[in-house]
Amino acid sequence: MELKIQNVTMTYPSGKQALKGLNLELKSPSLIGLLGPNGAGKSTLMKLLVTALLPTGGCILADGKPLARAERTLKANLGYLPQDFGLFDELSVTQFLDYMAALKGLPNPKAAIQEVIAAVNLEEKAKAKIRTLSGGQRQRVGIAQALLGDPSLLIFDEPTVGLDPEERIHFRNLFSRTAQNRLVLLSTHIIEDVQSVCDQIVVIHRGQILFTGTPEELIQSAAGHVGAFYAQEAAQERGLHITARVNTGKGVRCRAVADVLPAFAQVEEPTLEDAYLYLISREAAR
Amino acid sequence: MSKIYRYECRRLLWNKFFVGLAAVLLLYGALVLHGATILGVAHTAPFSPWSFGDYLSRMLPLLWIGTLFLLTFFTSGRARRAAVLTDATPMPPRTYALARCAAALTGGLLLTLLCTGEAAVFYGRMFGWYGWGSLALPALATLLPPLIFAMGSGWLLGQLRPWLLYVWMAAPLLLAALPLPEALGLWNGSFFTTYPLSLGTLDPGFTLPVPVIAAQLLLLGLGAVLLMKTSKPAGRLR
Amino acid sequence: MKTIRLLPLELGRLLQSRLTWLVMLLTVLGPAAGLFLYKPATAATMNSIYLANPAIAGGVVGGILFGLLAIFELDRARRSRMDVLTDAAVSPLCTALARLLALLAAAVLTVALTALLWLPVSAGLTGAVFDGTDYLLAYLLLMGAALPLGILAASCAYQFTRRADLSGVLLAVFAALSLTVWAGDWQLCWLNPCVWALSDDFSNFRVFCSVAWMRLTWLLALSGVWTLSWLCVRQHGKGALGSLARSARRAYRPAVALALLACSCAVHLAQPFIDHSNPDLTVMSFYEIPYAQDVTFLSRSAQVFPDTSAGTVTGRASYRLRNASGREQRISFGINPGYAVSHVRANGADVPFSVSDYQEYNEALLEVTVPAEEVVEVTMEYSGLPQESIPTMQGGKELSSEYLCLENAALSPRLLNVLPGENGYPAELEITLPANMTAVPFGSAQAEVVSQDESGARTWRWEDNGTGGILYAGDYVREDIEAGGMTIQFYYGRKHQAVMEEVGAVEAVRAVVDYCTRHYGMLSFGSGETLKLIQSRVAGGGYAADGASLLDEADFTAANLGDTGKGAAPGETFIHELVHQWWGLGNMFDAADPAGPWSAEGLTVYTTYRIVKELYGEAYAREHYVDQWQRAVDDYYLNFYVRHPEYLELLPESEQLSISNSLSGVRQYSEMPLKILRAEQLVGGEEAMDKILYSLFNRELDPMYPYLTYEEFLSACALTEEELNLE
Repeated sequence: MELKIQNVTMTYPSGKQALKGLNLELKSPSLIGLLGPNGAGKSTLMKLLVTALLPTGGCILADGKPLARAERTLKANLGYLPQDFGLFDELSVTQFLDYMAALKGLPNPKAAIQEVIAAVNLEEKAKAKIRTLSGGQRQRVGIAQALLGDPSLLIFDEPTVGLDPEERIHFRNLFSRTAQNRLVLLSTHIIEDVQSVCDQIVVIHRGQILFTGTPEELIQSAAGHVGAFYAQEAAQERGLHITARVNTGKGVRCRAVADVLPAFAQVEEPTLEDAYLYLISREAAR
Repeated sequence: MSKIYRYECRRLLWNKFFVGLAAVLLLYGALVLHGATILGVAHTAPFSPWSFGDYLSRMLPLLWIGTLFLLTFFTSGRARRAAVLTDATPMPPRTYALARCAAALTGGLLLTLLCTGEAAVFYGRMFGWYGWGSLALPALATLLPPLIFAMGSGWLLGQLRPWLLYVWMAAPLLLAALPLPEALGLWNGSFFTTYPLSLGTLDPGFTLPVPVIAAQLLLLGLGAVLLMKTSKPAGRLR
Repeated sequence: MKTIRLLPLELGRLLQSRLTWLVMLLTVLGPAAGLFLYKPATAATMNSIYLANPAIAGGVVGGILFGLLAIFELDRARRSRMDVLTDAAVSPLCTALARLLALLAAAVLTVALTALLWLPVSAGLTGAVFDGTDYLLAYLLLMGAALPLGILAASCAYQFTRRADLSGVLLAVFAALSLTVWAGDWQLCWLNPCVWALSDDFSNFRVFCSVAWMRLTWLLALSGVWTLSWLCVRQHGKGALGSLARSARRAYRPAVALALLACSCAVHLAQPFIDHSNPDLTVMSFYEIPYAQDVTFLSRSAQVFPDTSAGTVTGRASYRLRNASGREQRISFGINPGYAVSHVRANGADVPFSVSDYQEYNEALLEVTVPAEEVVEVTMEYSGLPQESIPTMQGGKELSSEYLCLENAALSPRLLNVLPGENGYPAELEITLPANMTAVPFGSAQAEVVSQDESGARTWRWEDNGTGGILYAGDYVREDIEAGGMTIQFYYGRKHQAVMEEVGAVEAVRAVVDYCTRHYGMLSFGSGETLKLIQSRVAGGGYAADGASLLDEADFTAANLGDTGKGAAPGETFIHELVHQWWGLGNMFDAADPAGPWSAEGLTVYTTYRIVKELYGEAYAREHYVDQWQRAVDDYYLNFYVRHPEYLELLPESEQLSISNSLSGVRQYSEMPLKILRAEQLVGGEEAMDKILYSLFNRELDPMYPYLTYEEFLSACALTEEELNLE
């Protein structure tokens, strides 16, 4: 599966411009992490990729064909988990997945359902009505329906919201395994998730792409811009973007990113989070 | 398609709401049968096609409202949130909409069957009368066009704005208050009380004048066209 | 304090919801249901039709809708999971109270809007009889009070169960109970007050008081239950009982709930309006009390002082008896169960007395032991709110500055077991009334003003002969009409003056009395020279006695006067009702058989037609009477059940009866007059028929069965039933 986003613009009827001339190429197999602050345009981009929205400018090509024309082919190979979704509360988990399997036109729904139920650890709740599930369990049903039918393109918008740490690790690994032969697009705020599993990162800010590349490349871009210092040593913190404060025996130790680090700051090895924050803060300063 | 239809039927018909709706319908039906139909219309028997038609006309507003209520299952906030998932599947929207409409139509027909079944029981119990065959034509002529039209127009309005469905529910009440021309007499039930009197014979057989047939066919056709005209997935913008 | 601060916030939030405005709008439109769909007040007065019914229907609609809104609003926080946030900031008890108050405030606003919007409609529909106070009280009590009750009931259900669906079902059941099983129990029907009639021409003090009492009872009860449910509002992750145990730690909270419930029970039990008369109307034990031996009646007097602002009566009664037995005697009186008796004295000395708990026919038994003296004067004082017996038809004991009716034991204690003396039961009665009221004793006696105090209150005195007596008093207009060789004293309510003048009531009375006296003879209950025609407050029918006849105000409302079934023009309906003085009261008819055409209506409608023919000519009478009867009868003979009675017989009895009843109107009002018209032709014309009717009117009555029957009519005409067949 190959997706080409060419000069895509999306302006809502309210006049709000969510995406501005976006260009991006996504190829399988790959697990792509989509990062960006709230309102950056991540969800809009995902909606455009599943044809829930149509772009107001530019075009998206799926395997070389415009998305508008290849909609059915795309959807036949798509698993999608939006950030905000509803389920049919009156059905059981199995019934709901059976319903979705019918919509996806799966030839052998029973086996596929069992497989995804096992994948999301919901065997015990398979027969329970959806209305009786907890928030995390509902989220897992959402993930299960996306995985149904082994789609070659998986788009997850904040998939680990509401999951406990153990489950988050489980799904992180699941996504990683799944991406071995597919294209998986993962939008999240949890940098840790991205760092451990994604082989490519796209950072969006204010409707534009700030960065595309590997996590290592992003980290590299922040080298020399991350420093640490004790709070009392700092004559002034102007121009610094504090990313963490830790209480130590010698006082509060601060970690900061900046274009030019002050003399009192000791240069540190950047993490992915530092790099991301540095990228965003630099953009914000502009 | 058939699985979706079955699941939608299950969602629509296997719940407290539908049972309540059916109970209200049966209760209202009993009131109409015992209060009005039992007297007969236009000097005919309570079990004449005319009186039965009058009964159905009185039930029609409730059937209309019930059918539109079933459609609200597809337009409610919860349903719209679930549509985010279903819209991302390869099922063609037209087929999906038809399966859902068919389920709602099944609900509407089930309610209609309850109404007519109640009347049949009433006729049997009260008068020992079982000649139900003669009632098929008035039932079809009275109920089918408005129900198909309710489905088609309701689907369209529900896609435009969900709240329009609730406004549309008041349509039969408005029609009942309006002085309609003779050709539209089936829309507010006045046809069954006035037309047989104009035939000049006692206990006339059931016939429909051409303008009334034309009006009902028009309604049926319009409903069918609207039903066939499936809409774009909800919320998609360009 | 926090609740007070939260209230404007909650109210503002409530009023921002579209659902609230929808509920308010539907409630404002609710009274329309009372005009078309739901008509619990069955009387034909304008205020019953255009004020009571809309207000009650508005209350039912509003009560249910606001109940549902309450459930929706209470559940909203849980549904949207806002409760997690609000509970962290404010105590859930505080929020619940603020929500309740906000809902109540919205309800008050809605009722005010409804009353304002329906004011011109009601004023327009009721016309000359519109009364601002009645209007306000109707919208306040018949409608308005239903809304808080609905809100309280729904909130209770939600706070106990914390489930919206279950609360909805509970509210529906509670409302359905009121609308069905409890509809006939005036103290239980919380949603739809048991009001059968509101008077147009006179006041409605009693009806409103009784509704207010019912509302107060339920308000206390539901407030008590609400307080309990409030204590069950879930907090600290506990269930209903856990939360209750925690909230009840402040002892005053459960104490308030219990106090409210106790007050409600007390108010329920202490209702002052309805007595506890034996419901078995075949029991007449007070009439079976043996007469006191050798005690005879000499005379009695009573001074009655109604308090028209409180609706109560204070009175002094004095009875002079001859006790020839030479020993103590026990004398029995019937007294209104609402009265308390004090100071019973015999010849100036206190004597023992008792009032029974047992009551029948709106009377309790007062027993007095009188001494063994030849002439005994028993005096007593009594006072209280006169009670009535039929809870579904309240208003009979209306007592205000516009109207009062004091019957028998409600006027003064009625002697039960003393034989009459030489002069029977001579009585001299006095009543002190406000200046605007006229006292009209029901009978031949005439009341005269004997004194007047500085405030203008006048004391009326009249003489009577009997142990009881009925007095009507009201703001009456009196018209003296010379007709049929006697003076008709026509008393009607001042508010009705415009309607009466519009329909030419005086001329109609004259025409009817002249015509009927000329053709059928004098009314047997006329005292020879005068006849009082008294318009009474709506009571469900009229009656007649020696020298007086009662006309129910419901027969003379503008709406009834426009009923073309009884006459083509309003004045003709008036004629119809007056003709009932001859056919219906002067000559009585047994309860109409729903399967037959014979009733008082046949001869009344026929006579109305004859009078109209005399007044307006034959062509007019034919068009508006005979032709109309013919059309209705033609329609009737084509009716399926008339053509196929075998199908009618197949139906259960109750259905048969209701169909017969629906058909009997045509038979009585149209078929019978047509049959009489045919009889008129067969017996040789109008003159011959008039003679027959004269003979029937003046026939010798069988006291055991004084009713005029169809057979008597046929035999007087020398005709058979078949000869009058119209088919």
